[in-house]
Amino acid sequence: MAIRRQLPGWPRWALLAAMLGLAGCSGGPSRGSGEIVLAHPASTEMTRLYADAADAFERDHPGKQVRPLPITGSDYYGKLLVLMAARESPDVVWMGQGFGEFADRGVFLDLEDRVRADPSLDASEMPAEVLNWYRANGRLSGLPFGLDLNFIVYNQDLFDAAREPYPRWDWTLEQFLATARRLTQDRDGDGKAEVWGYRGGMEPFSFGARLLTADHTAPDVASPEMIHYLRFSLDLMYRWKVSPPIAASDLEEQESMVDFQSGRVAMLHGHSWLLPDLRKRMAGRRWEICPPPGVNGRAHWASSQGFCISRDTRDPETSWQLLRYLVTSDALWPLADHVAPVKKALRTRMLKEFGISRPDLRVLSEAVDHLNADPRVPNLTELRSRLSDAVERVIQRRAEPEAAMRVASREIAEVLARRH
Amino acid sequence: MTAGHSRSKRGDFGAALLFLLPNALGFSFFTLFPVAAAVALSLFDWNLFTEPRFVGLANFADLLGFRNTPEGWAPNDPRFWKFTGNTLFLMLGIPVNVAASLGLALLLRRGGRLQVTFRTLYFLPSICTGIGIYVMWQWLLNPDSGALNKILAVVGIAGPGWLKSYEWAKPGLMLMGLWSAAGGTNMVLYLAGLQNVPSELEEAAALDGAGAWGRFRHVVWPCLQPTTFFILTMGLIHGFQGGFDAAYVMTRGGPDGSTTTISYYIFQHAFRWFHMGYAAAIAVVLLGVIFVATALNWRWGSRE
Repeated sequence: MAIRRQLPGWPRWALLAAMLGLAGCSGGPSRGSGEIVLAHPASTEMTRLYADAADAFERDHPGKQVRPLPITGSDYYGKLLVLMAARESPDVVWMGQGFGEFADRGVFLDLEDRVRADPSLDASEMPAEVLNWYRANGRLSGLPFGLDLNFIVYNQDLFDAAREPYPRWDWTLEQFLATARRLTQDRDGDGKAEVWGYRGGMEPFSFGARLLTADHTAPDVASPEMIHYLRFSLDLMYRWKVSPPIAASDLEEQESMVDFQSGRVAMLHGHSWLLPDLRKRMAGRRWEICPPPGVNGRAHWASSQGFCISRDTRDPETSWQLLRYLVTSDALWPLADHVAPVKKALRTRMLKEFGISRPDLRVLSEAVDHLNADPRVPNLTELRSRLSDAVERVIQRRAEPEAAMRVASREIAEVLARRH
Repeated sequence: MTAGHSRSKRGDFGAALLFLLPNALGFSFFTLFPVAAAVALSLFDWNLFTEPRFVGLANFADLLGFRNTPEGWAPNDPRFWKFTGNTLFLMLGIPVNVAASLGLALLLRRGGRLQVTFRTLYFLPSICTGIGIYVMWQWLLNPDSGALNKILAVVGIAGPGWLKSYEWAKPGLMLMGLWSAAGGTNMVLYLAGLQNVPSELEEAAALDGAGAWGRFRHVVWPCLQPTTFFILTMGLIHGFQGGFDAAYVMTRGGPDGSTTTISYYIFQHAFRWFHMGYAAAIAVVLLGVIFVATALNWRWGSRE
């Protein structure tokens, strides 16, 4: 063996050790001593905003260090759970409707006593309903700062071209449908509209439908309200042909935005987090937002943005200071024009400073009285996937709404039973 | 055999072991141990946070078992069977991809001034990042504004809904697979295989009056059997394991689960719903299926 003869003993062992080292070494500790890690969903705007907030906190709290941890991709909660399971938990974590899945695993610090003891935190400034979204077993484990909401975005130029009055804020589903029909244009009559009246699907909440019963112990997806929601959605796509068939996934949102931007869609189901993107895409064009129509009047799908502290944090006190700073100071004020602030005073300020310039932010501000949220239960992701599978089956016309919802109901019941 | 010779052989054996050691260690750490851990994990119920709970073969019973319902016998996990069907359906593209690779390799073998250019062009999809390809095909397959349906419309064909349609989503993915796989590694392997076909055999066949098809069937194809066997074996393994990245980027497994493959289902259970034990059970079943399929292919291929 020529190579063996060429290499003396020790380099061979050194080579082996180096290879083993390369293979076996991890990246080492993920944070510096005394550093607080702040995890949040990543986007260009958010990443800059949280970096600015971290800098501002460090200036106000000499000796403290904050490292923002932007988590990229669509699966924020999944990635965060994996981090926590690997005992690499960030100290302060952004938290929305996934709260229940985390709280159930006992990964958050109980903040009840800290909130009670802090006179600067006026909980009455926040809607009690929203504050309760951060309670687990009656104990507060997080604080919200903003609300994510849905609405309808509409292209005013297309409305004007069709001589269609802009939507009223108290419009009914029938009025919405009539508007969508008048805005839809299929000039060559091939069944595929050149301009769709609407795109993006409806929210079950607009029909009074919900995932679980009020006590969250049983499915409620086979209700007449849910069937009404599905029949109405089918009619939009296949009977009246005012909306293209949609996919029940987040991919739908990206494609819808492109269609809206290109003037191929007159009305779009939108969410508050899309507002920065909408402003960019629709710059120089006339567009506006309005509340979604509902069977029983105005009903917004809602979720919240807030923060929790990991149970595994090595510095609970600084983490608490950072959380308080983020939810009470002006640190996240730049978010106020697309995340309705939870605090009433900030909502008032939002309207004063951003006014009713495009879009009309009163839609977000006044939505606070019409909130409908998914229950913050453990396994929410799985429960919702059972429902969305069934909805997709109906939209693909592979099952009648009643049959699909019977299956979904059984599956949701099985998931709930597994939990208990 | 002298003592010196024996010592030398022992030394060679030691050196061989030493050179094998890094790979063996890497294989043990990164493959053997995770596989063993997955097999062990499949016997537990574990959500990453609580202590794993031993459940024996319950995960396998939930996955593969059937139950008596008022409507008759039904699988405990109908999704698993549906997604296995999806995986097998998508694998129908493998022979088509192999045939296309072989066809391209035969064309390129003929030479010509632009041979290198064409080789590079055909191989380009293989060096492009997968995500970029998926996003590009997402737009190409858009039923309303996609290039494919626009082209079909020019010749008077109303294009299907592709990724938006339950029936057409899988063929759409297979079309993309054909585009990216035809000129990829398989083509290069076939090109290498074709270089080993003895030219004198082809010349002899030509002298005996064999046409192009006859030379291919009786000379070239038999010589390419080892290459084809390798490509098919790898294709089978990748086929069973595949589909995750395209489904994740392009369809999220939809519509109505029509593009969810076994690997995507494993991801859903493990990292969406945190059923680690159940996900491991699916992975173990997948391992078994791949093992059996490869063994059968091996047996058939060896006989050939």
